[in-house]
Amino acid sequence: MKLPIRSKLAGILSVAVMAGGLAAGLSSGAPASANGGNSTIRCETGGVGTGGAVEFNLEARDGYISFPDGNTIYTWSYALAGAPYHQFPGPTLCVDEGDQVRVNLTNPPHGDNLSGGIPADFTSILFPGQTGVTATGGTAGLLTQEVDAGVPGDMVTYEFTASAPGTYLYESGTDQAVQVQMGLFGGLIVYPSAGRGFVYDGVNFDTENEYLLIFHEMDPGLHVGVELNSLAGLTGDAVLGDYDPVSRHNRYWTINGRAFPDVIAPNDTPILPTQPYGGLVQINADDPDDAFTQLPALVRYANAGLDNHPFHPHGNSLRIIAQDARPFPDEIEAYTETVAAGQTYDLLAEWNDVEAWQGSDAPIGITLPALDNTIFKGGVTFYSGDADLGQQQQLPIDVTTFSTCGEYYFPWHSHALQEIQNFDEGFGGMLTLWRVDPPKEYDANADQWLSPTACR
Amino acid sequence: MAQPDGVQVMTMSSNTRTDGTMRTKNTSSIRSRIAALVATSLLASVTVAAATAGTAAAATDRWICAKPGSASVADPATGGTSTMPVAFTGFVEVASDLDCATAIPQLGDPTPIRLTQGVTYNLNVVNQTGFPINLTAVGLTGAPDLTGIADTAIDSYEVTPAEPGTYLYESSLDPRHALLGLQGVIVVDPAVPDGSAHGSPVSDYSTEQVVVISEIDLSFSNAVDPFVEDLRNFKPDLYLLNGQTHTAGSAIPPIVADSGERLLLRYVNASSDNSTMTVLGLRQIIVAFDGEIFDGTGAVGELPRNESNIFLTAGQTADVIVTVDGAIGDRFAIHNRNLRTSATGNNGEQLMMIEVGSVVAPVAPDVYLSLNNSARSLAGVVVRDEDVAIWDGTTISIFFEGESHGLIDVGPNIADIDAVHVDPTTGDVWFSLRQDFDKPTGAFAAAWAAVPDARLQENDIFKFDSAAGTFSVWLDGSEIGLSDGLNRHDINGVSVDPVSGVTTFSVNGCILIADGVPYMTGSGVTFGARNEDVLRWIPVSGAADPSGPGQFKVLFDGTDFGLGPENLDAVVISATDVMFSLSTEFPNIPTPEFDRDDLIACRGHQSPPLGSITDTCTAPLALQFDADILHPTNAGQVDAYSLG
Repeated sequence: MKLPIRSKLAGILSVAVMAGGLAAGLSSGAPASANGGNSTIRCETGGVGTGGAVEFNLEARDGYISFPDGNTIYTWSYALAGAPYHQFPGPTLCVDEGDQVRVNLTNPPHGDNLSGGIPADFTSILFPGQTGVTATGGTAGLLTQEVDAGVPGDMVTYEFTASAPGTYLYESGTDQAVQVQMGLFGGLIVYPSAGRGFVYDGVNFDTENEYLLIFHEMDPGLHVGVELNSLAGLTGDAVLGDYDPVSRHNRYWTINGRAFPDVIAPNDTPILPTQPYGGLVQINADDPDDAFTQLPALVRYANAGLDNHPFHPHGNSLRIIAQDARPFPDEIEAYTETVAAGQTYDLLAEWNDVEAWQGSDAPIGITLPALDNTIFKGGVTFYSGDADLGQQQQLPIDVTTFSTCGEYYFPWHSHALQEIQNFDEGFGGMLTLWRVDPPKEYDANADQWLSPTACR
Repeated sequence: MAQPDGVQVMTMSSNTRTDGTMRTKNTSSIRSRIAALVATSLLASVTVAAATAGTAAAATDRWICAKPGSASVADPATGGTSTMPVAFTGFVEVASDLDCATAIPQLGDPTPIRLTQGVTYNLNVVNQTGFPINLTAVGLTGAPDLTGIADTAIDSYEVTPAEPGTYLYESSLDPRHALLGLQGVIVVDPAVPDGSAHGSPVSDYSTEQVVVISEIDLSFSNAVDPFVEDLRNFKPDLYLLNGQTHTAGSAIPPIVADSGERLLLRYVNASSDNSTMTVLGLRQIIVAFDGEIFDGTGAVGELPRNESNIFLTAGQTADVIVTVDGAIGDRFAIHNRNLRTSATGNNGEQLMMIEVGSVVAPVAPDVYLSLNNSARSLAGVVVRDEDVAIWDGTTISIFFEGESHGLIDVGPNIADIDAVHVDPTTGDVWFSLRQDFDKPTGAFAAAWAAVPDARLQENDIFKFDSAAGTFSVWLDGSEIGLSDGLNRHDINGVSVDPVSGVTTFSVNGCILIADGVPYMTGSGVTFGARNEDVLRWIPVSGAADPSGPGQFKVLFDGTDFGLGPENLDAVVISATDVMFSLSTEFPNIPTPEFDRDDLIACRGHQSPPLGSITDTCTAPLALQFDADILHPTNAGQVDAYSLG
């Protein structure tokens, strides 16, 4: 049963109001646009290893990440071997069902907190949800084989068969309460044998609009303690100092390692060199006037944090089809899903005939207040000036709009509302936007469906 | 889930709950027992009085003592090289109130009070805590006892568990009670023991372990008087599984299970926070939450879920099946992925291991089969198509001889069993025929007397009661909309659940039932299926009337596995797998080759009711039984299978 759809007007207004709140902290500029989303999943596909395995070489690295309030936090994470910086979260590893997957982990020498190895004695990787994982090399730890920083060049090789498609995490298996909190995690996608246009056999999606949202949270106090100890030359247990997991008090909540509004900046924005993955969910509406049926966008949630996060979009419900990389017996239509620590979900997002929207034939009949009666806090807005999707109108001359083609924006966020702020500055934190573009148009010359020119 | 036939829940007073359970105080008993306790020298006579006074005749007495305790827990601050005392107050089950004096409660005790579905109990609580308490069994008892049990008094709570499962009980008279440890576990076993947790094959298990998740605020628990402590300051700093915490120097003892075993983990979240329980390296199949079975028959029709991380809200229970798969000594961690811990270095974690004790070579089940087309010699034994043969892995013999029960070919009246299900415990046989057949008469008339029609129809399923030697109609195809004759609704594969009355089957031909039998109650959707599908009939009245009102379900959609014109002619269902055989060759020949006589398994099958998500197996289709061992020529002769 389709749940009641929240009022679009309410969504638009809430974004308009919110825009004022975020303007001061927006450090990454307006979201750019492409045919698909500019934060679509960015896969690392690995190389071909011995025996035909799909092989990844990862390093445990340290470095800094930035937050919209100007703070810079010291973190640990993974990087592809030889990358100039660590990246937070780690690289998204993409493989196909049936692949033999091999991940080689090293911990390079620790340096000056600027992307050397991490100053821990041991580290490792777990692949939760996978079965039959083997680990060779290194030293036996509590949960798996670990890389020993005291052995130069020490390496552990993890290997498994990607036997079931879906969304997974990988994360440190060493002193997890510390190392996962410090940032040692990443996403792992297994595409089904049906192909990369499918999330599971029989369920396809718009490949231009596939998103991975990894959740995490952090207490900067713990990070600062480790940072200072590291700068003082301490390593191993000593670098943790008086790190007290019980007193953990989170101040930042992230999606793909970024806090809002940085979340909606595109992938690889140069201002966030160690946080390459954006989190703006962008889809095209499905025009019911057209025989073409827009495939749904695919959104993958993965909670790498230590806390559970109730997460939902405004503006429409979602089709929740799988948890922990296993399809539900029957899909669920809902909008709020509590993503517990370690869990992953796969969701299909659509914009089909919302509130009887019929493009030009039946625009949504919303009467908005006259613009001169509307206050645009801070002089910026995501509002296009027109209530209808794909339409733009003149805004007051002192107002800047982020709208590029009359698209809609809705919040998509943790509804543990203390988590959508950055050290008490909001809106921020575990919040992104859902950008709804007008329907794609058929380009006969290219024989493909493209986003409207104005949106590209 | 529906109650098994014959189990009636007692209803005694106006406070009966809609789920059939109830809670009532046996006040006369209480008064007599309080009086007796005051006169402590008469304790012996109290026990006598308890057995005779005040309680319903059918009720079974169970005794629970509540009293202070002291636990010795590995100290995370020292990496587990030393222990620290933790004061708490807990429940402990005892044989009688006389045992309370010597009983020792355990912190986070995983030992359950074991009850049986449908049986009425008096849970007699002896309060030796020093303060008033009550007993609230979440999901079992009804209205809360707001009066409570005075210190040194005894009170009795009557409960008749309606549904099997795992339940949390606690004292709820004051929020401090549970935080102090006044909690415990009740496990309700099915009314009819069948090796499962819930009377349903999805919950079959061979080893079980209760896992109690709890936490301690040491300053609160060890306070001189916790009742004057300010709960606004409550902040746990000790995280426990079964009352113990993992440290680098002192691990919680592992759960030892054999590879291949179905390990049932009964999670009980007795903490005041939500928890996410993960097993690393093995998947967890949720078969119940809060005692509600996930086999499609529960109130909300949930089906088993395959997850890595089980999210348990505070107070919630979950029953999950983990199929252990590893070499001897392999360890798989169970831990709370919320990663709560008291100190760095894995000190103070909610983490314990599943350790593989031994690797049990899977025992191939006996194979029951029937043939198509007259008689044939299998491994030197002549088997006829009206017989059911058994193959034990070495030899073949006749398990059910058709001729000795009147199934004798006479002219065009040909008896051919083309669907069979055998209960290896009772020897009962369910079967269907390939074509209509005149009901046996003469010397066989008495055995067939319960079958009303003069002609046995191909769309019916008959049951042979091995002990009585008699036959009856288990499923009357015409009552559920299967037609006889032209529409070819011949049932050609069957598997039954004698407890739930659910019949799983395949037919020869297509089904489109427009009148009277919707796909799903209230859906208004016409039921349709084809001969490559596996169907299920779920009767409302269960085994009492397997042909009675109910609903269809497509359990296995053959199209999802590339089957089209192929005819599925044998069906075997296990707790997790759907197995089938075809009457024609498999369309895409894999390696090893699937022959038309072979039994093919979809392991870990999950099926959607309908919709965009297709049937799935946890592994590629596999060969369950290669019929080449019986007749290497692959002559297409086996048309019915059952496993036992």
